[in-house]
Amino acid sequence: MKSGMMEHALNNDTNYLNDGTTLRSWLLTTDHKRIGILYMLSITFFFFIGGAAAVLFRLELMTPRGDMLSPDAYNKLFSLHGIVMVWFFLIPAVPNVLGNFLIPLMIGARDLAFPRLNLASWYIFMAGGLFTLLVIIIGGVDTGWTFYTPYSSTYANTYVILAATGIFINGFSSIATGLNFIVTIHLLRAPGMIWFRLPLFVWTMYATSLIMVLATPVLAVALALIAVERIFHVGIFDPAIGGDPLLFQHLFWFYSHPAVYIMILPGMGVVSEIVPCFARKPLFGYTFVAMSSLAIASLGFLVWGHHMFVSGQSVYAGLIFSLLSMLVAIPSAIKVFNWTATLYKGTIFLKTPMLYALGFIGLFTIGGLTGICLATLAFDIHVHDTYFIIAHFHYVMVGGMVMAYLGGIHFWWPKMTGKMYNEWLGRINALIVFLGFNLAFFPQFILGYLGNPRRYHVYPDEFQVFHVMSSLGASILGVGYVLPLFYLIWSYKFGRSSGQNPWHARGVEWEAASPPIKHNFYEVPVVDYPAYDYPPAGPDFTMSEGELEPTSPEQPQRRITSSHGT
Amino acid sequence: MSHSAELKPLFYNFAALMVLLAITIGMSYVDLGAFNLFVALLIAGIKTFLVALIFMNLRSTSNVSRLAAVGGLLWLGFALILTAADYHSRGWNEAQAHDLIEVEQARP
Amino acid sequence: MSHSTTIEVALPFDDAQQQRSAAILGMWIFLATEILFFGGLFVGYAVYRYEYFEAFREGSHEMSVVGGGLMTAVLLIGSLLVAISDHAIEEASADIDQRKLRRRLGGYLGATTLLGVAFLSMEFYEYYELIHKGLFPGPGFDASSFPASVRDTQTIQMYFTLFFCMTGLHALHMVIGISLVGGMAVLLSRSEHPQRYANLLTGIGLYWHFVDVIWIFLYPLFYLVR
Repeated sequence: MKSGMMEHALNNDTNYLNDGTTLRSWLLTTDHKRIGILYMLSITFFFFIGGAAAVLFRLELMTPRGDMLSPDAYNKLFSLHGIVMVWFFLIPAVPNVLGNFLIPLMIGARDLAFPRLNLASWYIFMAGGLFTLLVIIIGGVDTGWTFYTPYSSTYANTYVILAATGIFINGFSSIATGLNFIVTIHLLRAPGMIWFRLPLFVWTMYATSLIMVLATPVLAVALALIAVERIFHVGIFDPAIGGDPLLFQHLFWFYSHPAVYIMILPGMGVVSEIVPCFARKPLFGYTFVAMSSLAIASLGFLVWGHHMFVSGQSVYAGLIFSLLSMLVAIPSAIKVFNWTATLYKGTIFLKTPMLYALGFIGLFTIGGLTGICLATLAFDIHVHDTYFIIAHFHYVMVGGMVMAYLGGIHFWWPKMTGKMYNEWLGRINALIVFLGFNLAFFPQFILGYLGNPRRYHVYPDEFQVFHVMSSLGASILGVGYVLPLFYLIWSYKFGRSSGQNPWHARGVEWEAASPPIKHNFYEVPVVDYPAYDYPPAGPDFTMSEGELEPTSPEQPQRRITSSHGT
Repeated sequence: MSHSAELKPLFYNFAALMVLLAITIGMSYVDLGAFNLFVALLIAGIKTFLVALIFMNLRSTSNVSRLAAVGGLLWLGFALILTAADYHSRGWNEAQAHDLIEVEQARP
Repeated sequence: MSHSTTIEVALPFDDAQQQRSAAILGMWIFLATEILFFGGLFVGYAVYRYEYFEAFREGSHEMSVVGGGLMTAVLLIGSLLVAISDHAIEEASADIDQRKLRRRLGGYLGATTLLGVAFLSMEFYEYYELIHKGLFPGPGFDASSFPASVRDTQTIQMYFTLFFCMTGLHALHMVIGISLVGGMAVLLSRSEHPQRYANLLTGIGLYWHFVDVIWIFLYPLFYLVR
């Protein structure tokens, strides 16, 4: 480790980004940080593909008649939007980009436990993603992202098997990542990094990985059965020869309901990092927040039947599922209350990441509370398969997860690139996203309540005003998604250096250089302090010229010790 | 080999598995009604336990690995129990029995 | 590890022990996903057996109890051999005759591979017989030999659909397992220091045992419904 120090002194400019600049050095890398960047580029690509589909069908929905798209094209577009956004953006977004990049840094490891498996998971992801895109180019699929039988197994005339294959392939990538994270978090924590010193981001990643590992295979087998049914014309889900279409829904939602927690837990982890940093306070109720992640992950497996309240499922099972679904509100509320308690009497700095985090808390709360409405059997029967559902889960997925993802990207951008983006543009953009989002999706609650069903390309005239509002909001939201692309890339090229720790954050990941060197730390950190050890009382920072400035010159400096000799 | 004594558990385990195999075949010829399934699954469970404990070395592996094994089974249990909650109380079978033929006839 | 000097420790790990723990834990987590992968089918089995017990009983009469028992025994012998190999590679001390170790490992794993092939041959013969009798599910399914109660409702087809799906998925796993164990037999019998591959062998062994365990359940569920 002594040689490491010397290297540091001599070679200060080497980091993971410029340590090998050829395409080959990127495509064959096993460095978790580079793989995180590869994922970031790929999911951004998929995000804009899925977004383009949304633009098209929101345009169609400006008028009550089907004047732009045929019904078939409309069906294919919303299926494309759902499939791409769920499996190729939301699920990999935070885990595979920020999780890959940050877990080893946060726990003081040199890399993930299986670096080559990590790279393989990216290749599998790309194979699955590009295969699915190919399917869409040759004609697409019109079953929706849910592939409900018997439509998907017996009647659909589109490329169901091929689309399912793309998702099936992608599942291996999810499993590989989850497995890698679990082993890493169990075995590669730095000396002193006990479980209850882990940042909450790592706790949520652990909970997310459990879901990825335990739920994904059930989706795989459900999709495989559809393929088998279509190829061999057997009747696993076909009522005409003794099958039960609902069995598919059971299997599908056994994966897909926990999977919606893959799409929100990581966002909660990001927010748990951002809030203490910009409130300059330790996170309130650390243990409860950590345990609530595991509770959400486990309870999430017991509630899938609330997607099937009107499907013909037994009403008694519906009752059980309804009750269990309400239970999920408890750990979710624990998180929200603890974030707000952290804000209470904090010294709050409204920097870009914090704006996104605050947006997350508000929007997730709306999404979560409407979720309780939907878990209520009687209410669900009124709004089932209407725009109310669409609004509900977009409040969680987009208002929650995408906000958290953007917040996380802004928060750790200096860590990833060593550069600082334009703070003013960042804040404006957070505002644009927040306003655009609410304009796009709040009217959909009303539409759904009034009875406009989802997945139709035409609707009665009286709903037009809400649809126009929604489309307008979507356009504003689009601006909010394209803008960061430009100012973040600009900052990477021309931005000013951020320094090692521009937010004066207290996580172990900030002990490494920004951007970090190839194997993360010059010296393996020894962790002898709790997570979020922000000074417990009083503001330690003031805002000066838009920057956090320490109030006293001697900030508690952290000692970096080598593990050798301990 | 000096360590042949430590191989003994493997052979004992194998012998036990063969005996259980014989029992499970034998029991299938005895009509116990619904208990046949129970007995068959119980024996399969014991065999699985033996394979996991001795052959797969779960007796001397880390607790986390044991947790992974138990977790997989527990989660399968969640899937089975909650799915059963639906089918057991739906009354599908009775309805199915006479509807099926109509569905078949209605098909083009 | 008695012979850790020959084992290269990969970058993220501190020592060979940690690396071995990671390999074993990683494999167990993978097996947990496999439980759920087969689990989806077991859920399907449970549902349809619950609803159509009569069909499952009729269907299982087409299966050979002794044949299936023999297949189980073949797999269990393979498992024993894999366990012995794993034991041998872990317990062997540094000064052991490498040539002898190589030959033993090659022999055990080679025999396991052959047993795997024997299992698959029996299984495929059974498939052949069933297909010959017109019992492959689909439009060509011939239910005429079954009682009216399961024939007219087509529920008898569900038994065979699940039989082919579940044993087919198991057979696919067997093919992968045979390739892995066969590959290990070749690799270890040629390696200068077979112990370098101890973690790999343990992982592949765990997979092999797991595939066995699945069959331990498939056998009573399809052959012994009576």
